[in-house]
Amino acid sequence: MDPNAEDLRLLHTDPGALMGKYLYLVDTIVQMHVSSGYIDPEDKQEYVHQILDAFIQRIPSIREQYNERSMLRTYCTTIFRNLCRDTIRQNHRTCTARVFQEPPDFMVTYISPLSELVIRQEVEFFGKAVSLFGKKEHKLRLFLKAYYRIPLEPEELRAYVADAGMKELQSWLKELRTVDEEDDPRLFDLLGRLSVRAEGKHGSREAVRKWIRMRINDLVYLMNRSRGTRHTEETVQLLAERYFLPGHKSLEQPRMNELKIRL
Amino acid sequence: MKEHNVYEGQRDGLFDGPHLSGEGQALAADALALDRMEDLPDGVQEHLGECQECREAVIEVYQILRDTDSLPEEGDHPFFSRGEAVEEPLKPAGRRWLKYAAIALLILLPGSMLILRAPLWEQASFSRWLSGIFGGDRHDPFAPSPELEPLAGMVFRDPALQVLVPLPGDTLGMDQPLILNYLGLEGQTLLLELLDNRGVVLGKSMTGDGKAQLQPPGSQGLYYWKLSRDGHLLYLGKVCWINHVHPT
Repeated sequence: MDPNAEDLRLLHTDPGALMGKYLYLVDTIVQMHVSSGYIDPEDKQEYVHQILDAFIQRIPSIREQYNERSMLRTYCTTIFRNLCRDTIRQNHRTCTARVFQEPPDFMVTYISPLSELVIRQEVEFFGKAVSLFGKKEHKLRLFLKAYYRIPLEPEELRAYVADAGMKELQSWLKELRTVDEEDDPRLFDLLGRLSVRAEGKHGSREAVRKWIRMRINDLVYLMNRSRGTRHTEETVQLLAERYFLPGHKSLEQPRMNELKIRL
Repeated sequence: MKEHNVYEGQRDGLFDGPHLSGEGQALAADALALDRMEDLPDGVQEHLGECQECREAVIEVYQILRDTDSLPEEGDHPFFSRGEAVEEPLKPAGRRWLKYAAIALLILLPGSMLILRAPLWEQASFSRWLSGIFGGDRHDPFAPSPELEPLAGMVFRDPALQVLVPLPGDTLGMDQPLILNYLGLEGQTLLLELLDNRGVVLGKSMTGDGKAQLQPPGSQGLYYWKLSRDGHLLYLGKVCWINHVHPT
Protein backbone atom coordinates (compact mmCIF):
# COMPACT_ATOMS: atom_id res chain seq x y z
CA MET A 1 0.00 0.00 0.00
CA ASP A 2 1.42 3.41 -0.87
CA PRO A 3 2.17 5.62 2.13
CA ASN A 4 -0.51 8.16 1.32
CA ALA A 5 -3.20 5.50 1.05
CA GLU A 6 -2.11 4.07 4.39
CA ASP A 7 -2.29 7.51 6.03
CA LEU A 8 -5.67 8.09 4.42
CA ARG A 9 -6.94 4.81 5.81
CA LEU A 10 -5.82 5.86 9.29
CA LEU A 11 -7.53 9.24 8.86
CA HIS A 12 -10.84 7.48 8.33
CA THR A 13 -10.47 4.48 10.63
CA ASP A 14 -8.02 5.38 13.38
CA PRO A 15 -7.25 9.12 13.62
CA GLY A 16 -5.55 8.59 16.97
CA ALA A 17 -2.95 6.37 15.30
CA LEU A 18 -2.52 8.95 12.56
CA MET A 19 -1.92 11.62 15.17
CA GLY A 20 0.66 9.43 16.85
CA LYS A 21 2.35 8.92 13.52
CA TYR A 22 2.49 12.68 12.89
CA LEU A 23 3.43 13.68 16.43
CA TYR A 24 7.03 14.32 15.35
CA LEU A 25 5.77 16.98 12.93
CA VAL A 26 3.92 18.85 15.68
CA ASP A 27 6.98 18.58 17.89
CA THR A 28 9.21 19.98 15.15
CA ILE A 29 6.86 22.85 14.38
CA VAL A 30 6.59 23.85 18.04
CA GLN A 31 10.37 23.54 18.47
CA MET A 32 10.84 25.76 15.42
CA HIS A 33 8.72 28.45 17.08
CA VAL A 34 10.55 27.96 20.39
CA SER A 35 13.85 28.52 18.58
CA SER A 36 12.49 31.67 16.94
CA GLY A 37 11.44 33.09 20.29
CA TYR A 38 7.71 32.87 19.61
CA ILE A 39 7.13 30.21 22.27
CA ASP A 40 8.68 30.05 25.71
CA PRO A 41 10.66 26.78 26.01
CA GLU A 42 8.78 26.01 29.22
CA ASP A 43 5.47 26.12 27.35
CA LYS A 44 6.52 23.74 24.63
CA GLN A 45 4.58 20.69 25.80
CA GLU A 46 1.51 22.78 26.50
CA TYR A 47 1.58 24.00 22.90
CA VAL A 48 1.95 20.46 21.58
CA HIS A 49 -1.12 19.40 23.55
CA GLN A 50 -3.17 22.39 22.47
CA ILE A 51 -2.34 21.76 18.81
CA LEU A 52 -3.19 18.08 19.08
CA ASP A 53 -6.49 18.89 20.82
CA ALA A 54 -7.41 21.35 18.09
CA PHE A 55 -6.35 18.88 15.41
CA ILE A 56 -8.59 16.14 16.83
CA GLN A 57 -11.54 18.51 16.75
CA ARG A 58 -10.83 19.24 13.11
CA ILE A 59 -10.68 15.61 12.00
CA PRO A 60 -14.24 15.62 10.53
CA SER A 61 -13.56 18.73 8.45
CA ILE A 62 -10.17 17.34 7.36
CA ARG A 63 -11.88 14.18 6.13
CA GLU A 64 -14.31 16.32 4.22
CA GLN A 65 -11.90 18.87 2.80
CA TYR A 66 -8.91 16.73 1.87
CA ASN A 67 -9.19 16.05 -1.85
CA GLU A 68 -6.09 13.86 -2.30
CA ARG A 69 -4.18 16.36 -4.35
CA SER A 70 -1.31 16.86 -1.91
CA MET A 71 0.18 14.22 0.33
CA LEU A 72 -1.94 13.89 3.47
CA ARG A 73 1.22 14.29 5.54
CA THR A 74 1.97 17.63 3.87
CA TYR A 75 -1.64 18.73 4.24
CA CYS A 76 -1.59 17.90 7.95
CA THR A 77 1.71 19.77 8.27
CA THR A 78 0.05 22.94 6.95
CA ILE A 79 -2.78 22.41 9.43
CA PHE A 80 -0.38 21.87 12.34
CA ARG A 81 1.52 24.98 11.32
CA ASN A 82 -1.61 27.08 11.11
CA LEU A 83 -2.90 25.73 14.41
CA CYS A 84 0.44 26.54 16.02
CA ARG A 85 0.28 30.11 14.75
CA ASP A 86 -3.32 30.46 15.90
CA THR A 87 -2.38 29.18 19.35
CA ILE A 88 0.53 31.60 19.55
CA ARG A 89 -1.78 34.45 18.58
CA GLN A 90 -4.31 33.46 21.21
CA ASN A 91 -1.72 33.09 23.95
CA HIS A 92 0.41 36.09 23.10
CA ARG A 93 -2.07 38.81 22.33
CA THR A 94 -0.59 40.95 25.05
CA CYS A 95 3.11 40.33 24.56
CA THR A 96 3.82 40.70 20.89
CA ALA A 97 7.27 42.07 21.70
CA ARG A 98 8.49 38.49 22.09
CA VAL A 99 7.72 37.82 18.49
CA PHE A 100 10.28 40.30 17.33
CA GLN A 101 13.11 39.16 19.55
CA GLU A 102 16.37 38.30 17.94
CA PRO A 103 16.96 34.55 17.91
CA PRO A 104 18.94 33.51 20.96
CA ASP A 105 22.69 33.21 20.47
CA PHE A 106 22.77 29.45 20.85
CA MET A 107 20.86 29.26 17.56
CA VAL A 108 23.83 30.69 15.73
CA THR A 109 26.16 28.02 16.95
CA TYR A 110 23.53 25.36 16.39
CA ILE A 111 22.91 26.35 12.78
CA SER A 112 26.36 27.48 11.88
CA PRO A 113 28.96 24.79 11.34
CA LEU A 114 30.67 27.38 9.12
CA SER A 115 31.15 24.90 6.39
CA GLU A 116 30.83 24.85 2.65
CA LEU A 117 28.12 22.25 3.09
CA VAL A 118 25.88 24.73 4.88
CA ILE A 119 26.43 27.29 2.17
CA ARG A 120 25.53 24.74 -0.47
CA GLN A 121 22.32 24.00 1.40
CA GLU A 122 21.55 27.69 1.59
CA VAL A 123 22.15 28.09 -2.12
CA GLU A 124 19.78 25.20 -2.75
CA PHE A 125 17.19 26.74 -0.44
CA PHE A 126 17.58 30.04 -2.27
CA GLY A 127 16.71 28.20 -5.50
CA LYS A 128 13.56 26.86 -3.85
CA ALA A 129 12.61 30.34 -2.70
CA VAL A 130 13.02 31.69 -6.23
CA SER A 131 10.93 28.90 -7.72
CA LEU A 132 8.14 29.75 -5.26
CA PHE A 133 7.31 32.85 -7.26
CA GLY A 134 5.23 30.73 -9.64
CA LYS A 135 4.26 32.64 -12.76
CA LYS A 136 6.63 35.45 -11.78
CA GLU A 137 9.67 33.18 -11.49
CA HIS A 138 10.99 33.91 -14.98
CA LYS A 139 10.68 37.64 -14.45
CA LEU A 140 12.31 37.41 -11.04
CA ARG A 141 15.27 35.40 -12.35
CA LEU A 142 15.76 37.77 -15.24
CA PHE A 143 15.52 40.98 -13.23
CA LEU A 144 17.67 39.67 -10.38
CA LYS A 145 20.41 38.53 -12.71
CA ALA A 146 20.32 41.83 -14.55
CA TYR A 147 20.37 43.76 -11.26
CA TYR A 148 23.31 41.75 -9.93
CA ARG A 149 25.01 42.01 -13.35
CA ILE A 150 25.08 38.25 -13.81
CA PRO A 151 25.27 37.35 -17.52
CA LEU A 152 21.92 36.37 -19.00
CA GLU A 153 21.19 33.54 -21.37
CA PRO A 154 18.88 33.94 -24.39
CA GLU A 155 16.64 31.18 -23.05
CA GLU A 156 16.05 33.08 -19.82
CA LEU A 157 15.00 36.09 -21.81
CA ARG A 158 12.79 33.99 -24.04
CA ALA A 159 11.02 32.56 -20.97
CA TYR A 160 9.94 36.11 -20.14
CA VAL A 161 9.32 37.47 -23.65
CA ALA A 162 7.79 34.31 -25.04
CA ASP A 163 7.07 35.51 -28.58
CA ALA A 164 10.42 37.18 -29.25
CA GLY A 165 12.55 35.96 -32.13
CA MET A 166 16.25 35.24 -31.80
CA LYS A 167 17.19 38.54 -33.40
CA GLU A 168 15.13 40.52 -30.90
CA LEU A 169 16.49 38.48 -28.00
CA GLN A 170 20.06 39.15 -29.11
CA SER A 171 19.28 42.83 -29.33
CA TRP A 172 17.91 42.94 -25.78
CA LEU A 173 20.85 40.90 -24.49
CA LYS A 174 23.30 43.22 -26.16
CA GLU A 175 21.65 46.23 -24.54
CA LEU A 176 21.60 44.57 -21.14
CA ARG A 177 25.26 43.59 -21.36
CA THR A 178 26.33 47.13 -22.12
CA VAL A 179 24.75 48.62 -19.01
CA ASP A 180 27.46 49.99 -16.82
CA GLU A 181 28.00 48.40 -13.38
CA GLU A 182 27.13 51.66 -11.65
CA ASP A 183 24.36 52.77 -13.96
CA ASP A 184 21.26 51.40 -12.26
CA PRO A 185 18.92 54.08 -13.66
CA ARG A 186 19.72 52.97 -17.20
CA LEU A 187 19.22 49.34 -16.23
CA PHE A 188 15.81 50.14 -14.72
CA ASP A 189 14.82 52.05 -17.85
CA LEU A 190 15.82 49.10 -19.98
CA LEU A 191 13.99 46.57 -17.82
CA GLY A 192 10.97 48.87 -17.84
CA ARG A 193 10.92 48.79 -21.64
CA LEU A 194 11.36 45.05 -21.50
CA SER A 195 8.40 44.63 -19.15
CA VAL A 196 6.27 46.78 -21.46
CA ARG A 197 7.26 44.46 -24.30
CA ALA A 198 6.66 41.24 -22.32
CA GLU A 199 3.64 42.13 -20.22
CA GLY A 200 2.23 45.10 -22.06
CA LYS A 201 2.04 47.18 -18.93
CA HIS A 202 3.62 50.41 -17.86
CA GLY A 203 7.13 49.95 -16.55
CA SER A 204 8.68 53.18 -15.35
CA ARG A 205 12.20 53.32 -13.97
CA GLU A 206 10.84 53.84 -10.47
CA ALA A 207 8.34 50.99 -10.78
CA VAL A 208 11.10 48.59 -11.83
CA ARG A 209 13.38 49.75 -9.04
CA LYS A 210 10.61 49.25 -6.48
CA TRP A 211 9.67 45.86 -7.89
CA ILE A 212 13.23 44.57 -7.65
CA ARG A 213 13.75 45.99 -4.15
CA MET A 214 10.52 44.44 -2.91
CA ARG A 215 11.28 41.05 -4.40
CA ILE A 216 14.74 41.08 -2.77
CA ASN A 217 13.07 41.89 0.55
CA ASP A 218 10.61 39.06 -0.05
CA LEU A 219 13.51 36.69 -0.69
CA VAL A 220 15.35 37.79 2.45
CA TYR A 221 12.20 37.15 4.44
CA LEU A 222 11.60 33.76 2.85
CA MET A 223 15.20 32.73 3.46
CA ASN A 224 14.96 33.61 7.15
CA ARG A 225 11.44 32.36 7.68
CA SER A 226 11.44 30.29 10.90
CA ARG A 227 14.93 29.05 10.19
CA GLY A 228 17.05 31.03 12.62
CA THR A 229 19.23 32.36 9.80
CA ARG A 230 19.94 36.06 9.50
CA HIS A 231 20.23 36.69 5.81
CA THR A 232 20.43 40.23 4.57
CA GLU A 233 20.22 41.76 1.11
CA GLU A 234 23.97 41.34 0.83
CA THR A 235 23.99 37.63 1.65
CA VAL A 236 21.05 37.07 -0.69
CA GLN A 237 23.14 38.64 -3.43
CA LEU A 238 25.96 36.24 -2.61
CA LEU A 239 23.56 33.31 -2.75
CA ALA A 240 22.17 34.56 -6.04
CA GLU A 241 25.66 34.70 -7.52
CA ARG A 242 26.34 31.19 -6.32
CA TYR A 243 22.99 29.91 -7.50
CA PHE A 244 22.96 31.50 -10.93
CA LEU A 245 26.64 30.81 -11.54
CA PRO A 246 27.19 27.34 -10.05
CA GLY A 247 30.69 26.99 -11.46
CA HIS A 248 31.63 30.48 -10.38
CA LYS A 249 34.59 30.45 -8.01
CA SER A 250 35.36 34.12 -7.83
CA LEU A 251 33.52 34.95 -4.64
CA GLU A 252 35.93 37.00 -2.62
CA GLN A 253 36.93 35.50 0.70
CA PRO A 254 35.81 38.46 2.84
CA ARG A 255 32.35 38.31 1.27
CA MET A 256 32.23 34.56 1.77
CA ASN A 257 33.09 35.05 5.43
CA GLU A 258 30.22 37.49 5.70
CA LEU A 259 27.88 34.83 4.39
CA LYS A 260 29.24 32.26 6.84
CA ILE A 261 28.82 34.62 9.75
CA ARG A 262 25.22 35.22 8.83
CA LEU A 263 24.37 31.53 8.74
CA MET B 1 3.40 17.17 -17.72
CA LYS B 2 0.97 19.91 -18.59
CA GLU B 3 -1.87 17.46 -19.11
CA HIS B 4 -2.12 17.37 -15.31
CA ASN B 5 -3.38 20.88 -15.48
CA VAL B 6 -6.46 20.42 -17.60
CA TYR B 7 -8.32 22.13 -14.85
CA GLU B 8 -6.61 25.44 -15.38
CA GLY B 9 -8.64 28.03 -13.62
CA GLN B 10 -10.43 25.49 -11.51
CA ARG B 11 -9.74 26.82 -8.08
CA ASP B 12 -12.23 24.96 -5.98
CA GLY B 13 -10.58 23.43 -2.95
CA LEU B 14 -7.13 24.90 -3.53
CA PHE B 15 -8.19 28.37 -2.45
CA ASP B 16 -9.87 29.61 0.68
CA GLY B 17 -11.01 33.17 0.16
CA PRO B 18 -8.14 35.26 -1.18
CA HIS B 19 -5.39 32.80 -0.26
CA LEU B 20 -4.36 29.23 -0.92
CA SER B 21 -6.24 26.75 1.24
CA GLY B 22 -4.40 24.28 3.44
CA GLU B 23 -4.40 21.79 0.61
CA GLY B 24 -3.32 24.45 -1.90
CA GLN B 25 -0.36 25.27 0.32
CA ALA B 26 0.40 21.59 0.80
CA LEU B 27 0.27 20.92 -2.94
CA ALA B 28 2.67 23.80 -3.58
CA ALA B 29 5.01 22.55 -0.82
CA ASP B 30 5.00 19.10 -2.44
CA ALA B 31 5.70 20.72 -5.82
CA LEU B 32 8.60 22.64 -4.33
CA ALA B 33 10.04 19.46 -2.87
CA LEU B 34 9.62 17.54 -6.13
CA ASP B 35 10.79 20.38 -8.38
CA ARG B 36 7.40 20.36 -10.05
CA MET B 37 6.37 23.99 -9.58
CA GLU B 38 5.63 24.35 -13.28
CA ASP B 39 3.11 21.53 -13.06
CA LEU B 40 0.99 23.27 -10.47
CA PRO B 41 -2.40 24.49 -11.67
CA ASP B 42 -2.09 27.88 -13.34
CA GLY B 43 -4.23 29.61 -10.72
CA VAL B 44 -1.89 28.46 -7.97
CA GLN B 45 1.20 29.55 -9.89
CA GLU B 46 -0.34 32.94 -10.59
CA HIS B 47 -1.28 33.42 -6.98
CA LEU B 48 2.19 32.49 -5.76
CA GLY B 49 3.60 35.03 -8.18
CA GLU B 50 1.73 37.74 -6.29
CA CYS B 51 1.27 36.63 -2.69
CA GLN B 52 4.18 36.73 -0.27
CA GLU B 53 1.99 35.47 2.59
CA CYS B 54 1.32 32.20 0.77
CA ARG B 55 4.93 31.91 -0.37
CA GLU B 56 5.96 32.14 3.28
CA ALA B 57 3.48 29.47 4.30
CA VAL B 58 4.64 27.14 1.54
CA ILE B 59 8.33 27.53 2.21
CA GLU B 60 7.77 27.02 5.92
CA VAL B 61 5.90 23.77 5.35
CA TYR B 62 8.61 22.67 2.93
CA GLN B 63 11.23 23.50 5.55
CA ILE B 64 9.41 21.47 8.22
CA LEU B 65 9.17 18.46 5.92
CA ARG B 66 12.81 18.78 4.97
CA ASP B 67 13.95 19.09 8.59
CA THR B 68 12.00 15.97 9.52
CA ASP B 69 13.10 13.98 6.49
CA SER B 70 9.45 13.77 5.44
CA LEU B 71 9.63 15.15 1.92
CA PRO B 72 7.35 13.36 -0.53
CA GLU B 73 8.65 11.02 -3.16
CA GLU B 74 7.37 11.40 -6.67
CA GLY B 75 6.18 7.84 -7.15
CA ASP B 76 3.87 8.12 -4.14
CA HIS B 77 2.31 11.43 -4.96
CA PRO B 78 -1.46 11.51 -5.48
CA PHE B 79 -1.36 14.49 -7.86
CA PHE B 80 2.02 14.50 -9.58
CA SER B 81 2.40 10.79 -10.15
CA ARG B 82 -1.14 9.93 -11.18
CA GLY B 83 -1.80 12.99 -13.30
CA GLU B 84 -5.50 12.77 -12.71
CA ALA B 85 -7.57 15.25 -14.64
CA VAL B 86 -10.11 17.14 -12.64
CA GLU B 87 -13.14 18.39 -14.47
CA GLU B 88 -14.20 22.00 -14.62
CA PRO B 89 -16.75 22.69 -11.92
CA LEU B 90 -19.17 24.13 -14.46
CA LYS B 91 -19.45 22.29 -17.75
CA PRO B 92 -19.22 24.40 -20.94
CA ALA B 93 -22.74 23.44 -21.91
CA GLY B 94 -24.06 24.74 -18.63
CA ARG B 95 -22.18 27.95 -19.10
CA ARG B 96 -23.60 28.38 -22.62
CA TRP B 97 -27.10 27.91 -21.32
CA LEU B 98 -26.51 30.58 -18.72
CA LYS B 99 -25.23 32.95 -21.39
CA TYR B 100 -28.39 32.55 -23.46
CA ALA B 101 -30.52 33.02 -20.37
CA ALA B 102 -28.66 36.18 -19.47
CA ILE B 103 -29.03 37.60 -23.01
CA ALA B 104 -32.75 36.88 -22.99
CA LEU B 105 -33.05 38.45 -19.59
CA LEU B 106 -31.36 41.61 -20.78
CA ILE B 107 -33.52 41.91 -23.87
CA LEU B 108 -36.74 41.29 -22.02
CA LEU B 109 -35.99 43.14 -18.86
CA PRO B 110 -38.06 46.31 -19.17
CA GLY B 111 -36.24 47.95 -16.36
CA SER B 112 -32.82 47.39 -17.87
CA MET B 113 -32.50 51.10 -18.53
CA LEU B 114 -32.78 51.66 -14.81
CA ILE B 115 -29.58 49.75 -14.36
CA LEU B 116 -27.76 52.28 -16.47
CA ARG B 117 -29.07 55.04 -14.24
CA ALA B 118 -28.19 53.21 -11.05
CA PRO B 119 -25.51 54.60 -8.75
CA LEU B 120 -21.91 53.65 -9.32
CA TRP B 121 -22.01 50.96 -6.66
CA GLU B 122 -24.83 49.01 -8.28
CA GLN B 123 -23.36 49.48 -11.76
CA ALA B 124 -20.09 47.99 -10.62
CA SER B 125 -21.89 45.05 -9.02
CA PHE B 126 -23.93 44.57 -12.14
CA SER B 127 -20.92 44.59 -14.44
CA ARG B 128 -19.19 42.07 -12.21
CA TRP B 129 -22.27 39.87 -12.25
CA LEU B 130 -22.46 40.18 -16.02
CA SER B 131 -18.80 39.40 -16.59
CA GLY B 132 -19.19 36.39 -14.30
CA ILE B 133 -22.07 35.05 -16.36
CA PHE B 134 -20.28 35.50 -19.66
CA GLY B 135 -16.92 34.31 -18.50
CA GLY B 136 -15.89 37.84 -19.52
CA ASP B 137 -12.23 38.53 -18.95
CA ARG B 138 -11.91 35.69 -16.41
CA HIS B 139 -11.41 38.32 -13.77
CA ASP B 140 -10.39 36.88 -10.44
CA PRO B 141 -11.96 39.00 -7.67
CA PHE B 142 -9.34 37.81 -5.17
CA ALA B 143 -6.26 38.45 -7.31
CA PRO B 144 -4.07 41.09 -5.68
CA SER B 145 -3.75 44.25 -7.75
CA PRO B 146 -0.18 44.58 -9.04
CA GLU B 147 -0.42 48.35 -8.67
CA LEU B 148 -2.12 48.59 -5.27
CA GLU B 149 -0.88 45.52 -3.43
CA PRO B 150 2.71 46.72 -2.86
CA LEU B 151 1.38 49.88 -1.22
CA ALA B 152 -1.14 48.24 1.09
CA GLY B 153 -0.58 49.07 4.73
CA MET B 154 1.71 52.01 4.05
CA VAL B 155 1.27 55.45 5.60
CA PHE B 156 2.08 58.24 3.21
CA ARG B 157 2.91 61.89 3.83
CA ASP B 158 1.59 62.25 7.37
CA PRO B 159 3.30 60.07 9.98
CA ALA B 160 0.77 61.29 12.58
CA LEU B 161 -1.83 59.01 11.02
CA GLN B 162 -2.39 55.77 12.89
CA VAL B 163 -4.95 53.36 11.47
CA LEU B 164 -6.45 51.20 14.20
CA VAL B 165 -8.90 49.14 12.13
CA PRO B 166 -9.13 47.55 9.69
CA LEU B 167 -5.70 45.97 9.55
CA PRO B 168 -4.27 45.06 6.14
CA GLY B 169 -5.78 41.80 4.99
CA ASP B 170 -8.68 41.78 7.47
CA THR B 171 -11.57 39.60 6.34
CA LEU B 172 -15.21 40.61 6.60
CA GLY B 173 -18.45 38.76 6.02
CA MET B 174 -20.72 39.96 3.24
CA ASP B 175 -23.08 41.55 5.75
CA GLN B 176 -20.34 43.49 7.52
CA PRO B 177 -19.53 47.09 6.58
CA LEU B 178 -16.00 48.44 6.40
CA ILE B 179 -15.51 50.32 9.65
CA LEU B 180 -12.49 52.61 9.79
CA ASN B 181 -11.01 53.92 13.02
CA TYR B 182 -7.90 56.05 13.01
CA LEU B 183 -5.98 58.46 15.22
CA GLY B 184 -3.80 61.47 14.64
CA LEU B 185 -5.74 63.42 12.03
CA GLU B 186 -9.04 64.03 13.75
CA GLY B 187 -10.53 67.38 12.85
CA GLN B 188 -9.24 67.24 9.29
CA THR B 189 -11.52 66.42 6.38
CA LEU B 190 -10.45 63.15 4.80
CA LEU B 191 -11.89 61.15 1.95
CA LEU B 192 -12.36 57.40 2.31
CA GLU B 193 -12.75 55.45 -0.94
CA LEU B 194 -13.32 51.79 -1.63
CA LEU B 195 -11.84 50.22 -4.76
CA ASP B 196 -12.05 46.78 -6.26
CA ASN B 197 -8.91 44.89 -7.24
CA ARG B 198 -8.95 46.53 -10.65
CA GLY B 199 -8.80 49.96 -9.10
CA VAL B 200 -12.43 50.89 -9.83
CA VAL B 201 -13.85 53.20 -7.16
CA LEU B 202 -16.98 51.63 -5.70
CA GLY B 203 -17.90 53.93 -2.85
CA LYS B 204 -16.85 57.10 -1.06
CA SER B 205 -17.34 58.69 2.32
CA MET B 206 -16.07 61.86 3.95
CA THR B 207 -14.75 61.74 7.50
CA GLY B 208 -13.20 64.03 10.00
CA ASP B 209 -13.69 62.50 13.42
CA GLY B 210 -11.47 59.47 13.32
CA LYS B 211 -14.06 57.02 12.09
CA ALA B 212 -15.94 56.23 8.91
CA GLN B 213 -17.99 53.45 7.46
CA LEU B 214 -18.67 52.03 3.99
CA GLN B 215 -21.28 49.47 3.08
CA PRO B 216 -20.09 46.03 1.87
CA PRO B 217 -19.79 45.55 -1.90
CA GLY B 218 -22.13 43.30 -3.84
CA SER B 219 -19.79 40.36 -4.22
CA GLN B 220 -16.94 38.72 -2.39
CA GLY B 221 -13.38 39.50 -3.31
CA LEU B 222 -10.30 41.49 -2.45
CA TYR B 223 -10.85 45.23 -2.09
CA TYR B 224 -8.64 48.18 -1.33
CA TRP B 225 -9.48 51.35 0.52
CA LYS B 226 -7.82 54.72 0.30
CA LEU B 227 -7.71 57.55 2.77
CA SER B 228 -6.75 60.86 1.20
CA ARG B 229 -6.64 64.55 2.01
CA ASP B 230 -7.00 67.21 -0.69
CA GLY B 231 -6.34 64.62 -3.35
CA HIS B 232 -3.16 63.35 -1.71
CA LEU B 233 -3.02 59.72 -0.64
CA LEU B 234 -2.45 59.23 3.09
CA TYR B 235 -3.04 55.53 3.51
CA LEU B 236 -3.88 52.51 1.39
CA GLY B 237 -5.46 49.51 3.05
CA LYS B 238 -6.93 46.25 1.87
CA VAL B 239 -9.74 44.07 3.04
CA CYS B 240 -11.44 40.89 1.87
CA TRP B 241 -15.14 40.30 1.83
CA ILE B 242 -16.10 36.64 1.75
CA ASN B 243 -19.35 34.79 2.13
CA HIS B 244 -18.36 33.02 5.32
CA VAL B 245 -15.71 34.14 7.75
CA HIS B 246 -13.98 31.10 9.19
CA PRO B 247 -12.41 31.29 12.62
CA THR B 248 -9.19 29.65 11.33
